[in-house]
Amino acid sequence: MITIEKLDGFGADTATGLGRCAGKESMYLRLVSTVPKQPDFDRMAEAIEAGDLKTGFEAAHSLKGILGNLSLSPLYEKVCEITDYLRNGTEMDYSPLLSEIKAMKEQLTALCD
Amino acid sequence: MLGKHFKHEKEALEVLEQIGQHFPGGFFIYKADSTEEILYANKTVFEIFGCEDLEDFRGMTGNTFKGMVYPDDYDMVYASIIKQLDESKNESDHVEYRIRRKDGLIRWVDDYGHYVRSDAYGGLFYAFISDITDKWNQQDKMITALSAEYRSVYHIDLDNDDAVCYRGDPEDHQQTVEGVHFPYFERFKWYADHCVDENYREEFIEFIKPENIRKKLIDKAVASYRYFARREGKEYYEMIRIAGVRHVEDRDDNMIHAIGMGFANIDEEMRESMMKNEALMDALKAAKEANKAKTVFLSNMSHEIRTPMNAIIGLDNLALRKENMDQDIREYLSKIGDSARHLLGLINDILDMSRIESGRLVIRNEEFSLRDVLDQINVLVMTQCNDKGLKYECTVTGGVADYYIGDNMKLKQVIINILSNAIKFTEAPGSVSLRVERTAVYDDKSTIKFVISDTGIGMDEAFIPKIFDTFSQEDSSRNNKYGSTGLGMAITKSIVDLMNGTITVKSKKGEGTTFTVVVTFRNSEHDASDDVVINPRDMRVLIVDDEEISAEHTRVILEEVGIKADTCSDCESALHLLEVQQTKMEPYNLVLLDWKMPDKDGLEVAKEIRRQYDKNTMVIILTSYNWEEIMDDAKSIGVDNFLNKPLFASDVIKEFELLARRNNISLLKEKEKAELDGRHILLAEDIFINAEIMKELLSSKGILIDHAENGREALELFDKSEPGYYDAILMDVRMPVMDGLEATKAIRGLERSDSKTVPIIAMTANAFDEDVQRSLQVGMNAHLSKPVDPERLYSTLEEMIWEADQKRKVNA
Repeated sequence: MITIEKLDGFGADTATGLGRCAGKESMYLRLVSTVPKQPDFDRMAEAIEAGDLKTGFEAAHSLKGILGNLSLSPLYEKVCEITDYLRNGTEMDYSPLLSEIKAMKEQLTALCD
Repeated sequence: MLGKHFKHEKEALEVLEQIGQHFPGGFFIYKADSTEEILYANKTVFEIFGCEDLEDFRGMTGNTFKGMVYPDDYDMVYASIIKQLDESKNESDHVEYRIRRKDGLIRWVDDYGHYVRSDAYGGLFYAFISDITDKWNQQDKMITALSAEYRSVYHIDLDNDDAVCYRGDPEDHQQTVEGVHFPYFERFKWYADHCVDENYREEFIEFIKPENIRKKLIDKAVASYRYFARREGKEYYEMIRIAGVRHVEDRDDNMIHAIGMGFANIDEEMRESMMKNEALMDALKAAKEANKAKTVFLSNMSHEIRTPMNAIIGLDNLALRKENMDQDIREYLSKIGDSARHLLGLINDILDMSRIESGRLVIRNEEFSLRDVLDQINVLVMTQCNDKGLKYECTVTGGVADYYIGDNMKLKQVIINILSNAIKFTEAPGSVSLRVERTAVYDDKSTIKFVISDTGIGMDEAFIPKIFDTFSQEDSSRNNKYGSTGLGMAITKSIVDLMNGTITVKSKKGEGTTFTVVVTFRNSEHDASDDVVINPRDMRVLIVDDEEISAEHTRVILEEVGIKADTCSDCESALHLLEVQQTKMEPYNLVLLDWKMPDKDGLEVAKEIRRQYDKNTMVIILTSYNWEEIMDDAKSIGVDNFLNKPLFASDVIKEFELLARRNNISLLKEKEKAELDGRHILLAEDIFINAEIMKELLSSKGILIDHAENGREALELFDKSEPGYYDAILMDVRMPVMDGLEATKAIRGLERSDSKTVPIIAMTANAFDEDVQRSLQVGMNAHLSKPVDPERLYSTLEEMIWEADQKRKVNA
């Protein structure tokens, strides 16, 4: 089960995140727990693999919005980074970034379980 | 002798004969009706006519009066006599006419006649005549002499409308013959109609009217009128001049009965005067242009010279900020900076002196804080004194107020000038002091005394009177060591003079020097409770300057005190940035505009900005080297104030505080907010989590939300609603099916009363300017970035909804 303490340990800015949920802890935690199931993670990775940077960008951008809203900072920052590259259509090796993002997502998933 | 008709009056005749013989003037009797006859003429008459006796006389004249008169003059004389007899009470007349003597000579005679009805002879005239040719000649000569100025001279009898030409213009073929009388007004009106230019005609005619002449000459001896004439194919400027002529008879009634009138060709005179006028106008124009050129030169020179100087100083400062620098290089840079500042100081002095001498220095009259001025001075001086091992002390006594009205910059300049000298000429261990004292206060003014003393090397008594002269230095060799232009004191004195103050100096060689400056300021009704302390963090500054280095330098110094500033280099980008930031709800509140810019200068930019942002949202300060020339223009365009470059952060903040308070800037005002409770808001957001969060935030304030998952849904929901139902729309930009921009465009295009007025707020993770621009273009009102900040969201909604409410009230 995900808790505020666990999120703090993860590095999230729980204070701001809670603030956005009008202080409602249950709501905040509920929303956070939906993050690991977000299809956009896979959508992004697959699109990049297929060379479709545009779709990859759209997925990354959506993720960025959610992660930002919930102030899941470490994950948010990494996704921001990849979003910028994808926005500019940069041809590069995205695998390091993608692995990092995947790793963090797994971390979060573990916390939620 | 008298013939057979006087048979019975023999004795009377003899008497007559006796009288007539010795009578000096000519005398004759003449029978006027039925058969004309010269009944009697005396010896003088014969002499006048060059005849020997009556027989001869009768023969020559045909025994008629008509035969006596020179043919050309007869009609006029006859008419005149009849007229005069008609009007005369005592049946007398006076005429002047020419006669031709027997020997052919033409003479002028003066004829006083009297008409009598006699029983024996019917109508009789008896007349006294005399030859006035000589008198005429004399008169003539006098007239000639006097009338040399005029091309023709006339005598005019106003009472009888009678004119005669005394002296004519031989070249004028249209004028009346000399000596021949003619009706005055009719003739001169003819002249007006035929010879006077139409633009002057009416006034000319008014001028010659007898009643006007009489009026004019009551208190003036002479009157004239200048006009343009066209005569016999020639065009020229002419003048008509009149003067009253006093006849003996007129002495008692003080009225003008007759005048002399002259016509003069003043063409040369007029044209000369016109040329002189033109020359004067040209000279004036040249002087004005020279003056303007000088102004332009001064301000250009000022700018041209100071620009590279400031570049050097600015770059030097930036360089010195870098860490990890070689020690030697740091020292070199430091010295470069010192020299550059010194050089700039010299240049400033020279340009200042130049401006003072051409009278271009202007003293401002604005509220300022004397306390702040002293603080700034003390900081500067304290540092310099510490560096040199000198003691410094500043005391303020006598009830010096915090605020006065005057020119703080110039006051600072004066005091710092004097203090710098004091420090310059004092060695350790020595001391420098500044004493400020209020010596007098009237109802609206205060007199403040500034005493600057030092224990330095002092000056020779002999030198003291020269100290304020330009380029005077007591010991030029010594001063090379201290390095100065010799202008500092002259400038200081000039400024003090312009402030209507006084400056005096006392000094003893080897002991020290004391300068005393006394200035009177107007009191300020500054209420300290009005004071606003602005948190630098609340200041959002836009620097508009085409010189990158200058702009960057300014940005850096503001950053150091916690003020966030952006830079741009021209009008377009400035307006763009202003708009973008306002839409993002992070508006600028201060624009620092450089005056001299290549494309559009600072004034034009200020004008553009003022068109869109008024004084209580935006303060505009113009920065430049000297702004006296443009001060009035700038203020009328809406510039709030001026600051000299190079800028000091403290100056910027102080000015902003003063202006913010004065303009009642909305930064300080509580913004009007609407109540959010019970409002209806349409939320367009496709991502579940984001929507949940928004809904939570909004409902916690009592807002009722309708949620659309994309642009199309949002459009439909809005379309279906009653006009005015939704208080605002929160529109995510990136959505599937129809994105936020398209949806907004569509909504704005609907035919309903609220389609244009409902506030639409964009929400997006992108805060790039282009995106902001695009949202503005489709009709969005504000732009919030994601992840959303709750406070920002609430205040945006409160402000936007309030504004919309106001508009609705107005249109209702």
